[in-house]
Amino acid sequence: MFTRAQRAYVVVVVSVATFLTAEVAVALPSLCGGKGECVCITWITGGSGSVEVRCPADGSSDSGWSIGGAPADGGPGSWKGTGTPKAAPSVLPGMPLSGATLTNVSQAKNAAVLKTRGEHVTDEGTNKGTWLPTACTDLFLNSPLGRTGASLLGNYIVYRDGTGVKDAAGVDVCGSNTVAAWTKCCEHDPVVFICPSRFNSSSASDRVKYLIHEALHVGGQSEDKNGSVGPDDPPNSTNINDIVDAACN
Amino acid sequence: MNSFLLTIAVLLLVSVSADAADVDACNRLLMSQPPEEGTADPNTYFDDAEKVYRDCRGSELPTDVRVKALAKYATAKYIAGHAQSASAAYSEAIELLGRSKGSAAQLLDVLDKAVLAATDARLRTDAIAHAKRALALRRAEFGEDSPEVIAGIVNLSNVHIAFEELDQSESLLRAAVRTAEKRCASRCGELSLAYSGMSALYTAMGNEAEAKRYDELALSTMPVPVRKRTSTKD
Repeated sequence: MFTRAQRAYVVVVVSVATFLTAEVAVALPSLCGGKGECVCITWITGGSGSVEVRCPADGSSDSGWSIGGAPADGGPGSWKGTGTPKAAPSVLPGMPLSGATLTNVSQAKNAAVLKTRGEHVTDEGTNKGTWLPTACTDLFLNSPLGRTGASLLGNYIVYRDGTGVKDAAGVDVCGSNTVAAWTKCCEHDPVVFICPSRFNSSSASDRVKYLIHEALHVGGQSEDKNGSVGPDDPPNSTNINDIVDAACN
Repeated sequence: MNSFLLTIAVLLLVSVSADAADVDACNRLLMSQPPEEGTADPNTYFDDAEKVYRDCRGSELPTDVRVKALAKYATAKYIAGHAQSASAAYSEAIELLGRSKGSAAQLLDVLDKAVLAATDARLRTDAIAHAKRALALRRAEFGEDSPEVIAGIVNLSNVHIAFEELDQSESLLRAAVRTAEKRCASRCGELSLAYSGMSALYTAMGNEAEAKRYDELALSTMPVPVRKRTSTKD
């Protein structure tokens, strides 16, 4: 769809609440040093919104939060984490996946790898293909871990059955019956827990979305858990699902 | 005489409109989707599932509504970790669909879900029976070597894996891989799925290297849209 040069800018807008001001929308092309390579994500929770700017990590322009279309503040945006890869614990938490759940995770993981890898393009007259980045690839721009989404999903993450596993607060997350997959946010813990019954009951496209969502957390994407609303508040789970949908489907 | 006929007509009319109202109410209850994390009221789906099970199974309602009611209740029970109740409700839906000769697509959908629930409930006989019935139906509907049949074989093999019948699973999966390799010149979904099934089998066998190899084969054969780029000369 877009070549690298044509990718003037990718604007992924989540209209969860009510508005995106005209002022911000007009100002977007000037971000990332005016080179038009901004992945600008508008996180809107309740009635307020913040634009997070993710520029290519070549050091030439700042990423971070942009208020009212001003240059990004150079902060980490909604990313957290140290950027230090973390090895999986020697005794892995949770149970190994098996049978139908493992087959479903394998298929969803592979589809997620391909989506985050980008668009496969071949040149006329040759069979040689190349992968061009897409909005889905660029969701992982500026991740402190410095790995692509495809690398995280395919090589870094360890998928485990999360039935009965409790999070840091002592909550049996799968027991909530609303979660298909979860991970400890955001110190790059490589273990992603699958809640089999909820995951298996989801559509194939939703399974892919959930795995990309968790890969973002493994990369360092933070998530609002307390429902508070503020200019620098991280997105909530619904925001992240919506942005993955918009960028990858 | 005339007033008697009029009364009958009014009663019939009331009965028909009551049924229509019941169907509308049931259809409304059937609309809610399983909640996601952060959903404002995550219990709506589960409450609707209980209501639809209570109110929308009557024989006066269309079979389609009754089947959907049972399936919704079963899915809610499955998600909530009550696999045995889920399995029983799915079985009831399957029986109803069988009696009414409902659509094959709807029966396949319910059978596939019933396989998962029965497997989780450790009801081997039911799980195998549902998986075999779904496979036979796929053969009849789509043809012996169709992608749908390969998906059905992978489903059945996963049941065998769950009950540690790895030999049976292996022979099924090898046949599925052979068929898919014959069908597919390059990337295709059924081949990728069969390889994912092999990966699950080798994981169950404790052979991580082979499991990884098959998982990589599943990735390399998964379909991916390719755009042809035409060169332009100035």
